[in-house]
Amino acid sequence: MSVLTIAMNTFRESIRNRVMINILLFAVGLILLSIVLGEWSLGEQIKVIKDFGLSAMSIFGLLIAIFIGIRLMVQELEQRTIYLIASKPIRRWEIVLGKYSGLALTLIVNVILMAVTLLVVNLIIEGRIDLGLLPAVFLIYIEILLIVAFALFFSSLMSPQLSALATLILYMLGHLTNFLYEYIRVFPDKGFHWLLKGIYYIVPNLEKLNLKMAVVDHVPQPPHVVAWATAYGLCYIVIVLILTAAVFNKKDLK
Amino acid sequence: MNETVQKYIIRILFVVLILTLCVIVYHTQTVLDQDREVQFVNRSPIFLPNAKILSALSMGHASSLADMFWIRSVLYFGRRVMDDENIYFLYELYDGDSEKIAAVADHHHHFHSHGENYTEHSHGHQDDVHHQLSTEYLQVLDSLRASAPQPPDTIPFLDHATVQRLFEFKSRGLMNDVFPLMDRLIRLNPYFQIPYLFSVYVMMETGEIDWAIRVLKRGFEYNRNNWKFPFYLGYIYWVYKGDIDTTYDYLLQAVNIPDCKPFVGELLIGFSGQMNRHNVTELYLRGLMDSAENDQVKDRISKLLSQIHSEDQELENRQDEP
Repeated sequence: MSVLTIAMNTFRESIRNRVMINILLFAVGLILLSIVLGEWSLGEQIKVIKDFGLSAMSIFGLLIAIFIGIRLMVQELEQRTIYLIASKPIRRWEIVLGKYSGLALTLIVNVILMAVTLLVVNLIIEGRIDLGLLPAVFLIYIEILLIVAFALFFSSLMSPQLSALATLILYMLGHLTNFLYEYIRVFPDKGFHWLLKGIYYIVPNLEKLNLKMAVVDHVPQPPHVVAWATAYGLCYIVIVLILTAAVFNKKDLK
Repeated sequence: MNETVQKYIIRILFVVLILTLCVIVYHTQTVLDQDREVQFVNRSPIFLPNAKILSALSMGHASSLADMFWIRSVLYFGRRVMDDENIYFLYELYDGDSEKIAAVADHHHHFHSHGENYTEHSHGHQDDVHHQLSTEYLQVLDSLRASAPQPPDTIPFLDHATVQRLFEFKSRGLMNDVFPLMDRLIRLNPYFQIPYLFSVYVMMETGEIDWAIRVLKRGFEYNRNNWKFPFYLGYIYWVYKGDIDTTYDYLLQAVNIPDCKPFVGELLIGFSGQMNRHNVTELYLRGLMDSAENDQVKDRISKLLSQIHSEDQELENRQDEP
């Protein structure tokens, strides 16, 4: 019950956040702008709209995750409201889970709004709604959830600026690990091979949650790819949340 | 003066200030736009990291980046084609020669100050420069054309006039500018089909036939469900290489792909030796015209078909004469 209460409070708080509303407006604007970009693409307007729409969802989702995820915990500490919550008979992990659930709820509203905008644009231009985009949209949401979990983890350890930087670096690394894997495969005899392999397995491989190209270009995918990717993302999220709760447990909030 | 009046005056002054600033912004932008008119596309060569680095930098948005490159390629191609025919492109040929550049700038100035009423006959000196520029420009083009590979001696089914038309290679050299972008984008998103076909159309125009084959083979490797890849491979092996066996193999692969146009099947029959060369050529071109989505392409093929018809008619008339 306490997790649900904290989640609903977090949701109400973040949905009113002006930064988030501005980012959301930018995302919707970019999706609409893709109509113009598509006009210049010599008959590939629909593809351009879908590509840019999905990219806009992913990039702006990331920005929302970073800004809201980090600000939320810092704000609680700065305004000392966290002390008030901590003084109640609530366990620390419940606070973390409640905050995270609230953020997840906020993010799902954002993703739905962006997806609806994209699908409406798709309907207007193509004359039909391409439901084939939905697996990619769903995995974008899982990716954002993973990023927000890391943002929460970093913000419980470092200053807001450093947390934002660390989250951004993690996002970049997450999309580069495929190249690391390729490097290990091509040069298996290098001395620091074990280190690279370690990095490859520790940093989340965000490319596993990337189906954007596949859904837009109708590239056949192996069966259950979405289910496997979801399981991969969710397991990572649980690990990061457990670590965040452990760090938060050690914090002196008295 | 009471406070309310003062407030109104300040507001009016603000409005006037904003309007003045808007006028200044508009004016400065117009001046800057005029300066930009004399910039050239081919003055800025394309320097791009390789596709792997670009893919890493795209952070999971390789498809959108490929779209950006595609839009850039389309704009670049269109602009460059326009440049072939305008004075700025000629100006580019004189990079470093201040006298000729000044003359061209003078020409440009007169053209703009007289607008559409400006005629070349009214400016003797500039006309000479323009004529001289055009002559040298044509020489450059001729030398580019001279390096074009010669068509094979015999191409089954194609008559001499069609071969001559196909091997004009008017835009030779153009692909060098477009290719870096195209290469990056087909590697960034190998499932993006139109850039392969666009590259191949350009390469067929410019004579880079071996490149065209490589691009088509790569495209077909990733897009096995698009009949156009084997179809164009067959077309190139037939027209430019004169290799009927390979053409037959590719056409056979094309007809086995769902959505393949019926004319490809008819062509296949033609290639198996049951039709004469005129019928095959006509069938091929008509099929191309029907499947083309671009009106300009349709128009070009239609003109080619009418030309072939009129030449056939002439030949028949001559044969009928006693």
